[in-house]
Amino acid sequence: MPEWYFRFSLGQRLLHGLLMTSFLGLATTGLPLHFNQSPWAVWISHTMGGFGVMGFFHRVFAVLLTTCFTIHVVHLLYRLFVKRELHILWGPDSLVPQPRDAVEMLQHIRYFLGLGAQPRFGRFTYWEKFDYFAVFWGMLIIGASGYVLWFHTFFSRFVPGWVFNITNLIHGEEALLAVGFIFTIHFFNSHLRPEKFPMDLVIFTGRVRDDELEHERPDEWERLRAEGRLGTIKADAPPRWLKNFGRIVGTTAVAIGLTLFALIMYAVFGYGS
Amino acid sequence: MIVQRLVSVAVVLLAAVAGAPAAPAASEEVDTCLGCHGDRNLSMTLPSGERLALFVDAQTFRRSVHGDRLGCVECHAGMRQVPHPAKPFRTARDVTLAYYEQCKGCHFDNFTKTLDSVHYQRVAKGDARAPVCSDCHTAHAVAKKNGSRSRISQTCARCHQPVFAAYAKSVHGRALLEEGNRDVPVCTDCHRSHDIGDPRTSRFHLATPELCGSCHTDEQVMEKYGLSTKVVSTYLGDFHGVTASLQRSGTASGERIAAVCTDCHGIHDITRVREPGSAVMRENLVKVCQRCHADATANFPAAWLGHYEPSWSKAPIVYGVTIFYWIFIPFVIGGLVLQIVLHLWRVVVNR
Repeated sequence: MPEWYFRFSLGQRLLHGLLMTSFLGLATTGLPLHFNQSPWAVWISHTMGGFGVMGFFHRVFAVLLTTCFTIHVVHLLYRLFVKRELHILWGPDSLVPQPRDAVEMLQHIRYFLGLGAQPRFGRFTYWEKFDYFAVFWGMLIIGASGYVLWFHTFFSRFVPGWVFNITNLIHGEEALLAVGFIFTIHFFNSHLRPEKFPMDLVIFTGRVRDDELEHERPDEWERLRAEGRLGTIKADAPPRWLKNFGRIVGTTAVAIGLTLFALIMYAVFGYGS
Repeated sequence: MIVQRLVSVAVVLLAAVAGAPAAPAASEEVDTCLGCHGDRNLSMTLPSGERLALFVDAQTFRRSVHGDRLGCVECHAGMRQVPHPAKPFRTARDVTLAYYEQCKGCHFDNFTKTLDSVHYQRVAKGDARAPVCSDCHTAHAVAKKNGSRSRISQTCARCHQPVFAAYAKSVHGRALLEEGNRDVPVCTDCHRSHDIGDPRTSRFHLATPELCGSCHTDEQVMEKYGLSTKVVSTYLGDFHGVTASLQRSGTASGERIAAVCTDCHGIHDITRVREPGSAVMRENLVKVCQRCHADATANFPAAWLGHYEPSWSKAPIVYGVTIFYWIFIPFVIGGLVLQIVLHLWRVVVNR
């Protein structure tokens, strides 16, 4: 019988669900603006009931994502300043990039090229840290520019006009980068890569199997064993309903994302653009 | 007068008796009718009390486009019989409405187009003031097509006086009326002539950039006046153009969320941008913005690049940021995709 261990808490999983929902919503209601000359953009806008309705939903999802971001930041501050969990700033439990990440990245590339062995990854790999900060940075910059655009007349009391040109530009380009990143790189690295294909359910079930943990994160596995902490994160096997729920939600999200990505490719390289 | 009328009746009868051609030459027929209708004072009183003039000026008709090819009864069917059969007309308008459909016989194409027009919508509802063919073209003085263009706008002005007054003061109207300029639009260039649509619909509103663009993207015409042909492309690249593009080909909902050319430049009262009092001059622009963005401050209009494309000399920050993303996005995504490719390659090799 395989043993199971918790990797993500219920709170983290719920927050990822909220992030995922609002991100897909924002992408669906925002991309038509970027590719407004494409027939599908007009179709999405019309199907939703026009540009005004689409803009309304974009703002609803924006508020959702802002809530998500705020919960995360407040929780981080709480862990740092109230619970004094300074280990989230540095060390194996931290998402902050550290020298070992550069080393592991180089080792990984050497491994890809057949020049060395797989790096012994810890709790968070370098691409997972990149993922985290890309999203964090994206939410800050896209969110801030979005609010400037939303309340443009209010901000026009304090900032010169060209700021709106720049925020408009940054909002669109950063969003395109975020969408391009999530719908290709994140989907591949977390779900579609051959080791995990078609989907890694850990973000929905929160649980990881012992052999997976040992094989993929040997450094973390050994650390947990050495510190005798495996028992504290011991989990029951993920119930079937939870796995099915994860499969349905995950497949839907990946399908929406890949469809939007295909539409972007059609608009950029497709016939008639 | 009565004698004269009897004589003409006699002529008609004689012609019939003498076995003359069944359809007499048009001018001959016209002469016959003018025997009576050439009388300047010929008129009748309608049940409404209106006096209906029955006089037709021979010269006017002969100079009209129909003068050498149509006779009277081709339009006034049933009037070959003399004395004319009684008609149930109550008002002068009834007379016009009874005869304008005769145009359809030859001008089927244009007549059919009018059935889609905003004018016909009113006619069909029984609005006696709504125009039919002869109200614009006249009945007997129908002019040739290639006349003066200002006459077209003056024709519309007969009903649409306030609009014409605004147009006459606009950059287009002044060029037309004062210089006889043939490049500027007259009413029908934007509103079309027979299938005039309702300009209050969102469909018409959203078609505006295309409409203005049909002249304002024409290099040859714009070069004469030193105007940019980038006005439409820069508009479409801006947020207003984006919203208008997304609303295009939509159902005719009343929602007017997108600003089009006329929302800033005005509709009939369009002026030169650099003219004193121009609404879109930089000094006045904030008032235009405030029509939609109620709380916009003096800083706000500076966000508008004035139909210029960003470049190092015009809006360098915007241009710089654009260039940055042109490089940054392909670099990041390209690098990460390369990593995926390497990853997949390793998986394949390991097998």
